[in-house]
Amino acid sequence: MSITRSSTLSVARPGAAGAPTLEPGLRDVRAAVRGAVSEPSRAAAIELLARSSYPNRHRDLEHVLEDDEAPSRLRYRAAISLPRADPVAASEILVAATRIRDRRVLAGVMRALGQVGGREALDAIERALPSTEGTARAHAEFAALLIAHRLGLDGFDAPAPAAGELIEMAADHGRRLHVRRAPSATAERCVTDLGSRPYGIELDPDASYEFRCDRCSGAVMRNRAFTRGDALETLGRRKALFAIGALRDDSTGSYTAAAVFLTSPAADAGRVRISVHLTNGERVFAGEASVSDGAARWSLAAVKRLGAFPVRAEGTFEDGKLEIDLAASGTRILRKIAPVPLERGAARNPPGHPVQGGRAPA
Amino acid sequence: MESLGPYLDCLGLPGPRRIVNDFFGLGRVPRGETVSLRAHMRRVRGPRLLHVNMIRIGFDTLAAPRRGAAEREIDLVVHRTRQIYDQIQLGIARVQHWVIPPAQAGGFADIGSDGEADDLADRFSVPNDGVDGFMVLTYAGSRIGSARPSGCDKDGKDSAVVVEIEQGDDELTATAFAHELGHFLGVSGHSSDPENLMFSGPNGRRINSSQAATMLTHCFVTECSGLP
Repeated sequence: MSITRSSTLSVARPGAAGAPTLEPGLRDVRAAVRGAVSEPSRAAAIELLARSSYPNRHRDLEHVLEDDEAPSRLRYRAAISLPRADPVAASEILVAATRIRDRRVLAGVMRALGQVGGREALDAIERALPSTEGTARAHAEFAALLIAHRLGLDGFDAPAPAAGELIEMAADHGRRLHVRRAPSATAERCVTDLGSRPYGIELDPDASYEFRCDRCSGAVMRNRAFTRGDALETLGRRKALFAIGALRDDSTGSYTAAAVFLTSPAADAGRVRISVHLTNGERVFAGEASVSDGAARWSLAAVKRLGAFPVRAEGTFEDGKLEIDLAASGTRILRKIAPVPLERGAARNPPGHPVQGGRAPA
Repeated sequence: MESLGPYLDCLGLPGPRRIVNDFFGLGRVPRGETVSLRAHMRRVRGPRLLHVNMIRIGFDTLAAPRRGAAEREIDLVVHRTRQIYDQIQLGIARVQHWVIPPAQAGGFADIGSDGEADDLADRFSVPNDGVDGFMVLTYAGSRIGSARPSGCDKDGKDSAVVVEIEQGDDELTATAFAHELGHFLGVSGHSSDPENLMFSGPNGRRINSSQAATMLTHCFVTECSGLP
């Protein structure tokens, strides 16, 4: 399903003794990250370096991020690559970078902070929010939401779905999604691909599900902190980053994070709200769990929005064990937006030249 | 000289019409490359055609020089994709250009995961019979783009190609677009042959007979009937 960036240069991997080694090629990659050589491209070099195991690679990425003369696209890429390079060091670097005013770079900083940030990051985001606009603000708000749920902090709640905001789907409509407990090989592959503590949580490969629909497949990997017998009681009193949804690339078998499952205690006792967001913060599913006698019955449905398709899932949660009784999906998108025709030659006019003609958005 | 009118009519291209911009779907012919009107007419007349929509997201945020470079990159992508698919007699015929207005682009200019790419394909679609190809500014991680084997329903899920424009190597962008188009047309796996288009990295852009058989029978492959 994908083509990868140039892999003509080797990158360092940990040696047998566990000590990372600098293999031939990495020096060239680092030089390319600095822009000192033209091959590979700086963008490809940033990616290669982030994937390598060179111990201080976060410093190279920090240098790009802090370089006011570097193109925004490279500084953005450096920001989003930092969590993979070194989550702990990344948080410190990214907190300092919340003062950056370039909107695109700041969007990358906020996106990355959501994955690795702690209390200090949340404070920095709060300070930056009043002067942050556009996509950067959306990422900042989602980063705060992620951190608050990861740490179980008050404030930064996901909005409760309004009446009629969820897509109704009758139980006998839609196609059944194939859901089962993930085989150990699937779970281990997914945990490996998502990396160490993705979104700051430890995944439990023994508490995961895999799913398959018409043209996609993936897994729901649960936070190990909420797989014990007291999990339901904990979820009833604090926010949580409950699980990560991962999509599988069928051509390679690899997994990438696609969604986060957040829970928070509802105002009325005995209920827990569930909110599922894509990695860019877009809320795609919402629902609730009703708790009684130490067990919960939960349900999820798709949120009405452009590009949404019907989904319905329900099940139980007891003694830290999640059961999925039903999962079904519609096949039709509710409503798509038509792009606007680009007048030939318009793109070569100076910025601000209006796009002529065009179909009104659906 | 044969008239172009019937060809343009057959492709459903509205007037006024210009040869390079409309018939070839190029802003300009890429530097150092040539295009042949006769060859493209033959292509359009051929029994198997594929129409493509090139959809830009976030280009309004690029400074003028970079934006011009991105447009030239798209022209190269179109030109190379046409050359690559000529080898299996699949004519990339009508190429139209589109833009997602900034107010609707949201955070889609910078794709952070495959889930976001799927959501992009779910949210936007050109209401015609062409493959939607989204050109985004960045695609996070080791990938340059993505596409899933597509069904025939553009109102269904995941019916698009998504490719990054700012990865720094125009020829690799062209390879990536053609590669993802191969996935869209039903080739689900990767080739281990570095010469093959479906190899998961820079490659020799070859398409083997098995892949061709899959691609050529995809429901998006059409023909231009009614030419004299």
